[in-house]
Amino acid sequence: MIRSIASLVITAGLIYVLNTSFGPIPAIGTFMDPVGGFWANATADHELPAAVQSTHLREGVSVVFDEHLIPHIFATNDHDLLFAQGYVHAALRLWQMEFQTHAAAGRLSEIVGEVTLDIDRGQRRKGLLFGAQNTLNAMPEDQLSLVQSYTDGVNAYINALDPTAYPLEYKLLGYAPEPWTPLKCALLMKYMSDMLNSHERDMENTNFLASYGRELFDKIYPNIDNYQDPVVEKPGQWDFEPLAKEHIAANAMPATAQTAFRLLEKPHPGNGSNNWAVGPERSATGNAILCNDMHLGLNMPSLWFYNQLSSDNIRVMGHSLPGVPMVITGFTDSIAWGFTNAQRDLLDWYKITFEDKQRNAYLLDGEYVPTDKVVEEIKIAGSSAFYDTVVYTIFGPVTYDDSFRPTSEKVGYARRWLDHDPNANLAMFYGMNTARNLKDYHRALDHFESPAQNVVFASTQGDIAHRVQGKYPLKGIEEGRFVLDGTDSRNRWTTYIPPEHNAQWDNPDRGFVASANQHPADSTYPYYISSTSYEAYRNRTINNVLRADSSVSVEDMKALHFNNYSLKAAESLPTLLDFIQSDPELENHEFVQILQQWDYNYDVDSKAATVYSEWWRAFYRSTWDEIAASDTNLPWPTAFTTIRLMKEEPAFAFFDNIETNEKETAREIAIGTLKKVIESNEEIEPWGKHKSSYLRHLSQVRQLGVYDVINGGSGGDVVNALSSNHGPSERIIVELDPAGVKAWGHYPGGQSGNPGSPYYDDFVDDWASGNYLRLPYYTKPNEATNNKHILTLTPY
Amino acid sequence: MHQLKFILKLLFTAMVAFLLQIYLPWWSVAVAGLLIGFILSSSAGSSFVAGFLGVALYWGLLAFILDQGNEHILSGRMAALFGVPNGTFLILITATVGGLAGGFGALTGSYLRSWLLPTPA
Repeated sequence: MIRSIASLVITAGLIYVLNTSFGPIPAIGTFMDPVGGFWANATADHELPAAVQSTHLREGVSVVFDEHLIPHIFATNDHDLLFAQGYVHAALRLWQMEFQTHAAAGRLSEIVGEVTLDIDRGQRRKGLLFGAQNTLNAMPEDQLSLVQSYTDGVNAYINALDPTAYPLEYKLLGYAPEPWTPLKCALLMKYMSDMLNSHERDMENTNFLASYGRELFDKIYPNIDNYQDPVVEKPGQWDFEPLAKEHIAANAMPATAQTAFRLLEKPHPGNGSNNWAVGPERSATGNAILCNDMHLGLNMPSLWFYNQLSSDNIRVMGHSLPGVPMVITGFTDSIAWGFTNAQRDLLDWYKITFEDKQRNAYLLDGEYVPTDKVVEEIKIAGSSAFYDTVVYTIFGPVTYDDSFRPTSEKVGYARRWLDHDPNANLAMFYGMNTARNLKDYHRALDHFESPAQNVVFASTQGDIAHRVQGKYPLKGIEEGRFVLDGTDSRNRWTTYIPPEHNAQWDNPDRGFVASANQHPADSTYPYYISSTSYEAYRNRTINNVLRADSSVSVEDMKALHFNNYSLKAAESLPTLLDFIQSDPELENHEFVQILQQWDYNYDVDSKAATVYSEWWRAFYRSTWDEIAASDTNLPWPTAFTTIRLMKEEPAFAFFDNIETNEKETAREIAIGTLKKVIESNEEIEPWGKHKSSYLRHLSQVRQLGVYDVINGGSGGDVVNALSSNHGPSERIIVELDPAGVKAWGHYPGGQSGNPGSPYYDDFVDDWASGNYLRLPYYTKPNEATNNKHILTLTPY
Repeated sequence: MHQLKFILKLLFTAMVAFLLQIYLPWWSVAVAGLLIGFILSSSAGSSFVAGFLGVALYWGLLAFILDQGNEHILSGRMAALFGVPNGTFLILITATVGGLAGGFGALTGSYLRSWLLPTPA
């Protein structure tokens, strides 16, 4: 008897231990079980069902998966179509969809525990969830019903999902998917806006101004550098009467710098993109060609998913964002469109004066008025929930106050972000997904408010166009570059630039349109425009290449996507080499000889690119050591400004190294930093190896990512804007052939989100090496060849 | 005779484990061990080994087949995650984990049988 009980207890104990997760280690028995654990995700091919029935369907859908597992979805009505799209997104990308919406909503701690609490609080205080709810609340019925169909499709997949078939990440992290909601679709769009349209440095600017004064500020941070080749250039032809701004908001200018607290993480400064289109007269085939590559953080699973959608209204193929219905960028049977970020300043900070530390009232127009308070419940895995009280003012949520980045009991900073407002993006997507011509494109864009984008267009009719579209608050000169006074209600955003006044042109004489996050318009554009910084180099390279090519082919466009030429290097290296000429140690050094022979291309095997890159980084850091050493947050100057100062004013005070007694100029800094580079690099690696790109898994679990991707290009100033973990999140080339639109593309990832699937990372090599997949567009299901699988969805 | 019975116990354990796992979580393999250990009497040691090998073979073989079909994509990633050299180690670990549950279940079954259904002296 004792033996029996002892053995039973041991067996039960063993099962208990193997069934329990310890910290990040999943429950070993559950995880190793080949029936329901991770082995179940080790699929021989795809994991898609062949037939699905649902009461939500009206007529039925047929989904043809091609050899790359790209679904071509054929339905008659839009609701069935989007139901099927939701189903397919969930079937291939469920974990990612949910994880990203959790990240947007400030709910990561629910999954991973206390470590992400600060991030979650930040998300709530930034107002992502607030904006998503506002968007959903204001959504017109027709859009809401499309979102609902998509949501029903996602849930049809989730509801039928057995735990043994959960995506791998759920098993690793030990949780289960929850039902999808329309709010999650809105959250994902805000997640994108957060990446693209929350660039600002108002607090940093304010601090710099307080510490160093106006003259230095203007010298180091010019609002616009006049060298740029703008997106739209029609000097003197802006034929509209601009709105005038009556009240110019005052800056809440402090006598001394104030914001010494740690600011929330900013979006990656490289979040940008390239897009362009050439008209028939410049195209070798006489068909317009459109190209796009969107530069974002590179994660696994990839942000993008290829799909074709066909109904009686929609006929589109391209990139969708799993979790959002319809196609975000791509082409229909007659038109193509693509995005680059418009870089506009769409986020302002207002300094709030509270009555007391309770923050129940704040000073506005001379009297204390009540605040609104929202208690945010943040659930934490393995711990009790955290309750965060977020204060709302007429300007927006107070992100920073005494309970989050303590400054002073009575001071808070309210955040006004365009994406707090509802927006009608879905109407824009629907308009684009059904567009047939230039007029449809403009009509669709009239709905588009955020995130502000430079939207390129080309059609089979031979039209090309570009439009810098967004909802832009009307601002007086310098308004919103610094922290604004939050005690005056007139300082709110009240008026917006009418969409027809946004910079745009159709079929310009030069025969092409292009954008790369540069300044939107020439200097005669009648509105004040500001940004953290506009792009200085890629835009000129692209325009130079296109101006020089009067017979553009698809192959030329591939070459332009992979153009590694650095104007930044071309405009800085000769001066840097001049600086070091007199130094006997460096004059004939191997590194210098390599640099002298460089053609300024960040090619995969270039050693000069490695030396220049290291040298420039050291030079930049050493020049702006004052900024790095500051106790308060200060803005980082652009490379362009640094190079201008280095050439025009080598004795400028900031070149001096603050740690030495001598007075250095740019020359001494150039010599000193190159010597340091030589000291710390015995051998020079080829650029591709030195840079070594990688695609990080969203969970940060290294073994689920893709590492050691070797290729050329460089972040920021090169058209092939690939740095180690940031760059082209997709590339697409569309030839608008009236006999049938042709498209080529790739993205770093694969159609499946399952790290155990052969379709998880199968596009990565093509993306890295410059091989393009033909992106097929089928007019009917039986046109497809090389099918991998067919999924039929029928009404129940 | 003993050998045949041992092999039968092993195969029955694997079969019952397979059937139970269609409806129950992974730990049902211990129940399979227990049932077979209880029904088919033999020494405690022999029961443990038969239970261990029955589930270990089932789990190991299933993992092996999945891994072959998957061309080691996932086992390679998981091996790196768990700090073992390759996917084959993971198959062995998988077999061992299942085997331990099956073996201890069988041991318990065997003890329970000799307690509840003592063989006449």
